[in-house]
Amino acid sequence: MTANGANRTNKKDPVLVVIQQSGGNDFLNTVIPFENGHYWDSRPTIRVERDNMVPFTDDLAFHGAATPFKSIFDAGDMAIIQGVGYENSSRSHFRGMDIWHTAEPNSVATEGWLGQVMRQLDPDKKNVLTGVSIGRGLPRAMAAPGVPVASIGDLDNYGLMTPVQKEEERNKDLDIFKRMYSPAFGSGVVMDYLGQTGRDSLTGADILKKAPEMYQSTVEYADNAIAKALRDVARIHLAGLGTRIFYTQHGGYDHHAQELPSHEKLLAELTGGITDFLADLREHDAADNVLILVFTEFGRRMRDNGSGTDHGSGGGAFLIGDNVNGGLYSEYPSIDPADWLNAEDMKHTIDFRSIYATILEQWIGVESQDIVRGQYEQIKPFVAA
Amino acid sequence: MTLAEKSTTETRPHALLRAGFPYLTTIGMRRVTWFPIDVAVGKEGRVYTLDRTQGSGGYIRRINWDDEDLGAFGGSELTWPSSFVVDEDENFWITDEAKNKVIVIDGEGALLKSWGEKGSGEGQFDRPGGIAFDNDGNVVVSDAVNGRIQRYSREGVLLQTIGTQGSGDGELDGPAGVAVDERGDIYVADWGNHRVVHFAADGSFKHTMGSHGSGDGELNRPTGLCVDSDGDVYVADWGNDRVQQFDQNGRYVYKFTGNSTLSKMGRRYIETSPRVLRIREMGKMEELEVLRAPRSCLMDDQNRLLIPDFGSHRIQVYKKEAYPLTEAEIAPIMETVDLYTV
Amino acid sequence: MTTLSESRGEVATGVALYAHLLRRAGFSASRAQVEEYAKRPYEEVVEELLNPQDQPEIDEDRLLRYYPHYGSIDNYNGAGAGRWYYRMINSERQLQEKIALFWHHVFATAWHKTEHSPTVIRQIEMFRQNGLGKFSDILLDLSRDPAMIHWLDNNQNHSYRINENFGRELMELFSMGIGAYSEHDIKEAARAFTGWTFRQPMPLYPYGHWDASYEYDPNDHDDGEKTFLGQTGNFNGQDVIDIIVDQESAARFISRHLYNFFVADESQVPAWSIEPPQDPEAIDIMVNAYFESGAEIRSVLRAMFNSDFFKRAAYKRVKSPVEFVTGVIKLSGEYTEPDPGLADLVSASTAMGQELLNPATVEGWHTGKEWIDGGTLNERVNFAVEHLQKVDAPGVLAIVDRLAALGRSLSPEEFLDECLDLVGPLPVSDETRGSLLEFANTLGDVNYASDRDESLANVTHMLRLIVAAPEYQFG
Repeated sequence: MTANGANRTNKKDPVLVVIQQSGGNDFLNTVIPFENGHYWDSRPTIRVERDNMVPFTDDLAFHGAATPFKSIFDAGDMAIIQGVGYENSSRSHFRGMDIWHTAEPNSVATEGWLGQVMRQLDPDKKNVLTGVSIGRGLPRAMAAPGVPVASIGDLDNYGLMTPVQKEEERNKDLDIFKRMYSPAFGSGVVMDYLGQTGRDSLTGADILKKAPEMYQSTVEYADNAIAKALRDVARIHLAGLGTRIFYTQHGGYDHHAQELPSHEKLLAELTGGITDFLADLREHDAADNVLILVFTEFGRRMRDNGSGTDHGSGGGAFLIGDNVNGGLYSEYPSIDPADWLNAEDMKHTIDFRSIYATILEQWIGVESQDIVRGQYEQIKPFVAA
Repeated sequence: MTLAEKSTTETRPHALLRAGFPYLTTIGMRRVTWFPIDVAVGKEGRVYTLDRTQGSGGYIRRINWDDEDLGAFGGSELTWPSSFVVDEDENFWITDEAKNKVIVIDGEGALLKSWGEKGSGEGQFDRPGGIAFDNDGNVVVSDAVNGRIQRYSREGVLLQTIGTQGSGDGELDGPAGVAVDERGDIYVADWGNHRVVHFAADGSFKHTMGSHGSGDGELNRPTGLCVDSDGDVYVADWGNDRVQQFDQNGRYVYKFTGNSTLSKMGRRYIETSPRVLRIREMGKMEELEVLRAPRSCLMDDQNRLLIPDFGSHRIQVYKKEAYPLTEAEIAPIMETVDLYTV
Repeated sequence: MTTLSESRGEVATGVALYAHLLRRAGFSASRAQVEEYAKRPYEEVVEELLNPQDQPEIDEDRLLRYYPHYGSIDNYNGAGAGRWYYRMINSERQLQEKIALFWHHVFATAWHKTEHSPTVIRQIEMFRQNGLGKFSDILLDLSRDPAMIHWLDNNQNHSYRINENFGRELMELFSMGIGAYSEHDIKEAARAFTGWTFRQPMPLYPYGHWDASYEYDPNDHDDGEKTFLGQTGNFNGQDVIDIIVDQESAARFISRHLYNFFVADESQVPAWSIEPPQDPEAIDIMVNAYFESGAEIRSVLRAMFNSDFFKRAAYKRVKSPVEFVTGVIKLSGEYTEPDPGLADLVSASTAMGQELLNPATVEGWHTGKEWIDGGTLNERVNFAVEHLQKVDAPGVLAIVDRLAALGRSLSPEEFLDECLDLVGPLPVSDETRGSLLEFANTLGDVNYASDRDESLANVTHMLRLIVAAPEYQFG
């Protein structure tokens, strides 16, 4: 089952696109158990009304702003994993994200789960673009000592000396840069390393420059951050640069107040962006080796607070792609107050490391045990080969 | 107070029988009135805070006296908003000390007009800190780094410049909040000199209130102020975490250090959080009462003093109880204090 | 002009020596300041730097007026970090900020576990106040610090059920290093610190954070007999600290930390129990100062700054992101006032791999060459280029003024040498020098007193190339 991704229907290398919903998405208002009276009781104010939801099963509906997800679900390309979490869920965004990024809830770890994957995929660091993060800075999920990752804030202006505005001047500066970072004898270990890193960085930027140049598409993405990020992912993926792991994030889900208008906007941006991204890949016949994982660090409190909802647990995740066997996975946590954790939260029904293990073994084709630090029961969200 | 209300204010009483200034209520909470740097009242019970975002940015939050969150607007126009006033149409006149502009937006956040640029010349600003309407509807703006007050027409035409940088009489050092009384006099929170400077409408210096320190009547970095129809001046004594009240002669009367109770929205919010309720039960109540770094204050036409409690994300409200006295009802000013009482 | 290989390892003299000292004991200084210091005897300057409390305290009111959140602390670590940047750039008590950064490296406490910013920020203030004092006082304050107590779970260390986390790290990471104690010692130390907790502050909602304060709960303290590092008694936490600071292992461990931070890059801390220090004699000198002074950090630093091994160590460290950012800003001369954009410095060093007040783990940041990877090098180079190509930056204008003051035409070589001198003086390799000269040659001979615009263009162009050079990554 693990060897080289038996579940894929082609021979291209599998690619994983991770989308992080930062801030703690309100799963209860995203995939809504609308036939359950406890939903309406728990959410007297911060609720999605019936006329603003799109049912996709007898008792579950998407938030109306997430209507694009219904099409993807109906087409059988979306696995909804319900009740994702872990024991003693952290209510800190940052600790919570750390736990997700390192797959280690019990102690503080430094190596990211995807960083370890990249090390396995490209142990000799032949490709400086095996992992690409869209956005400034490196998410810990991608971090592992010695593993190069390209963090791209702006694909159209990526690389060294970018504050130099005039392209001609910049190119001259880069020539000088290259000479300054060229190998020199007797300059010491650290200086050698620095030189190599500088040259690698130039190489990565040179390769990445091709992506915007080659890209052509009829798909017009919306003008928002997540849509732009997904367009950057598409441009790099379509350029065939050998990138296996993409990471990006969509922020703003921390809805303690004014949840209704803001959540609606974010869900529309996210689901619209994913729809455009899939269309773009399909237009270029490049969707068949791509899997999208959408996750968030925690769900939100069962009861609303009058304006929003507070940090809770038991969220949900989505797997999207042509190879996904669409449907519902795991159980929706009970929303009966008698079953709430600490009298206020949904209890998770599946450990997030089960999802990681599933993706690692069944999609990417690497051993999961060292990365998720143990054995976790996997789900079967992919179509058979 | 809106302009229309201000212009109908009665003339000032001869003196006051001060009955008290009890704490009335607290409205707002964290993430709603989040870091309120200034406060204004609109019609039909609407209350507005000018909220400064961490790092940079800001917006106006609309709530009401029933403590309902009615949403935020204006975020796209503001970088470092410092002060605002609301006009008769419930449009908002805002100083922005990063953009060096006066910015006017409507209640939906749409930009109506703006003027100003960085500099020290006419019509330029270097960190405008406070804004007020005068009785003719013109706009009075404090220009902090230039150490001056500028009066503009509503079209942004410069009409008058008052004050210069310095620490002498009528000079200003980093002026912050400004207020105009019913006679047209201008009061300035003279931040760098730890005092309030009082100018006549023509720009001539009248007197100062307060001096540097933390005792009664002393100020540490005053940032905002308001004046009521009795001539009482309320000063946001930022560095001392309080608001102080002075009478029209600059005599210290009273101080507000905070008496906050739980706002309606705050109560509703934490009632859904058993853990927060428990932690609150384990803490000390008195630390919740105090004002933290208040930047401004406002007296409305119901004699309510609104203090945006910047560091605690709320507005503490006090109610002035005072009765006007005529010259016939109160003895003349005495030359000395006296232990003889009847 | 000395080359890199020539300059390294030689005892620095003149302006180069004072600039080196000010980069290490502070966050670098403007050229004018360095030259002022260079008029005075070196050891007198060291003494002044070692006593930052004699310099005026920075007036933060202007900062807090324009960055009000830096004073009213929400759950946002950027507020504490931004305020710290302002102090690192502008405080006349430079070593006070530098030693606080040092202890932040060693006692790495992160905001992310609680998002309780007031305690995390106050911990740094504690380092400002005690960071140059006796090691025993520093450890005692640390053990009573609510941010640390929570970070390492000592609030859950009860007489009836110990939690070893603080006891372990106190010895492993904060004082002696692996190998100097047994598992049994850890348990006994944990027992000694039972009951060291903090008073519950009010919750974040609905009105923001309140600070926490240390509280000792005698009812939750295990008062029984303990045997710790061979000594037996009814020890409390303070006794454990007193025993620790008398250990030679503590003197060596802290001296090596100071050497790694102030002198030259060592291997990563976890390797120290295996790899000997690169300069054992230097450590011996510092260990002697430690014991002679009763474990006073100021005295150890005095011995260190005045030694030849320190004077030989110019550019032997890869600058940490915070040192890199402050160094660039001090060179460009920006943010002497609380201008918009100050908060961006926080995100800049975060993108370079060092988020102030929020290290990833209690092990702190890995230093030296581990600061550099493809992504962080991009961030470092681009940040420096962005700030040094500003034609209105005060530091850039000061360099142009000095070139203009020469009042004569400069050859390309002279121009390059002047710029390298004013940036550091920064020694560079032959390759770097050759590359930079290639650019300088395109300018020809220029009199920098004649055409201001041309001068500005040439200088900003040369500066942005210099700060992009590999040598500029060292400090």
